[in-house]
Amino acid sequence: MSSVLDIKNLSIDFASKKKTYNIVKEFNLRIDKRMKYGIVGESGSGKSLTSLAIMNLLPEVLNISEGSITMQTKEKIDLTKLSPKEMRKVRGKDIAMIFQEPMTALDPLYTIEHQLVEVLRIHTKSSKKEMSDLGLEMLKKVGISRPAETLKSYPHQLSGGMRQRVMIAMALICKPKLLIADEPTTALDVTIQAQILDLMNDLSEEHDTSILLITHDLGVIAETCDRVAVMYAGQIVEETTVKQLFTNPSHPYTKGLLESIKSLGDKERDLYSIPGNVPTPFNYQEMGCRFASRCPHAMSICKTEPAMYQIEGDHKSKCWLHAEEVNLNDEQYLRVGSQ
Amino acid sequence: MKAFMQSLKNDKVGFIGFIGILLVVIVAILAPVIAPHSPSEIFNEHILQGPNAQFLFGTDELGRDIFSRVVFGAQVSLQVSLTAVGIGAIGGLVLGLISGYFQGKIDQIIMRVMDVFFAFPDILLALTIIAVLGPSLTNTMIAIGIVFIPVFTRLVRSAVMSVKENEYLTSAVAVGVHPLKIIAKHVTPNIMAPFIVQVTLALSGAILTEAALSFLGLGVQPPDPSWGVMLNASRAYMEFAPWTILFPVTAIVMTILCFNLLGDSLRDLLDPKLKS
Repeated sequence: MSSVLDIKNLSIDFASKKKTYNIVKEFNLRIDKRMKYGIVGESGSGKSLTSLAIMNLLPEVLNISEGSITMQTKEKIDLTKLSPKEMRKVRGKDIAMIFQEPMTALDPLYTIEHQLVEVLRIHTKSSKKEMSDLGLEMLKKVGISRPAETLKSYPHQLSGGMRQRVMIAMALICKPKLLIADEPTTALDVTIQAQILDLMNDLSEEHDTSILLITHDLGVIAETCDRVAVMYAGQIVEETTVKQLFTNPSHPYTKGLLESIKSLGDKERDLYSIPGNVPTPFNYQEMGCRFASRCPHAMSICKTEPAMYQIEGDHKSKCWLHAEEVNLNDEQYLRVGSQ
Repeated sequence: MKAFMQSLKNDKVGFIGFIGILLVVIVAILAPVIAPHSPSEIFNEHILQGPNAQFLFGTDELGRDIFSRVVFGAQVSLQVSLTAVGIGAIGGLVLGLISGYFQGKIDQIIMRVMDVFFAFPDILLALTIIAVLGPSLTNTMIAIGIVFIPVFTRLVRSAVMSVKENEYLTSAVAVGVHPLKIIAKHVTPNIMAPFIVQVTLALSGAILTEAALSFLGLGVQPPDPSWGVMLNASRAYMEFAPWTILFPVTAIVMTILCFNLLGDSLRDLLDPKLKS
């Protein structure tokens, strides 16, 4: 299968006046056609930044210092090298984005119709009637019960779930090749979450759209995605299929994450949490493995950075435990325990 | 627009303000028809007469008809306030949008210059500008306009910065809208509520500042009728001829009141959340 998006060796830096700090490092990701790819990680792990980087929407203080983001449109293009004008053509047409906050993601001063049509007007040359009809059709597709009336209403007249449906309609109206959904269900009711995820799934299949789903909720990943990358402190620490992730989690951080899910039934057990805190980007540089300080398996060698090691097939983990040359008798592999 | 007028009608206070301003505008436009005399015509035998049938509002120290002067003064006041606020509001809008949207260095430069302007009291700044340009009606308008630019710039900038936090702007960028179009279609309309309120308040402020400058003799020059000029001229006689000061003051107070009433209700009307 051909890849839709191929991110190679992406690094994002934060540049202050005195020093530059690396925030996201050596980020690799490949999304194939019709694939649903999940990125999971806690707040501050850099998952949203990565999605913004794809759209070239990084705030001014952050910049891509290394790597390429190749997108397969009519031809292969590197998104990091596009001029602002070329980038505007890609946004909305080839890559669309759904945001976390449906409450503020629609301009309160314009009707839904106006905002749907605005996207079309930028990227297509249809007549007003055609655009308006297409808008209506999209609203029907996203399951809005009274599409004609909704078309004429203002955002504040809609509920959160309805707005998120409108956002999905807006995102898919130009039939993009990739849909980036940044925590699309976090701000919604639990009952609505599943509906929205299903809707995204169905529509993306219908339109041949790949999905990049960013979330901190492993449940959402389990329900939606094919492949998943676990991010910690600006790096992917484990990358595999969703099935592998849940049946055979390898990186200690992933294990910790899965441990901390409370399931129905186990009433006795206290909720597990990974000890310690996420490191700040300002001391990333001095750290070897960025998870070492919180890791129950930490070893002396963890002061140097591990590479991405292949475990089996497509299952990769960034941990010394999975290094081929590992020899647990060697002194540098001595367990030092959680610090 | 029709719906807007309807909701304005439902808001009694705002409607009164609107009618009041409409009245002042009509009076200003039809001044030559309404006024029985020329504003500078001198009736030697009727100096400082109280209100009577011939001179509705009485006469001033030179025997000019106060009613006619108040009527023509409306022209001057409206002209000054509209032009001055136009200069201030447009200048402030442009600078504020640039400052708030692009931020960074350009924002620093603009805002530091504005801070310098802010350091002067309004009237002193206007006085300084007029001292440089020379006193005349046009220069009064320019001076008041410049005085208003920092106020508008700061207001627009802060409004833009708060609007920028909303995801619909990121979302507009994410669907490929041109930055200038975003500023024109998504930023500007969304800051209009505080902006228009500030405009109405500034309109009344401009009338006051014009009156104050004219009162000091640096604004509109005699014999042109302006409410401020009339106050200045009549302050020596107000104890025994109170009508000389009463009517221009009433005109100033009522006009400002109407602008403020309208501004208040506009703020509510312009909020789309309150549209039913």
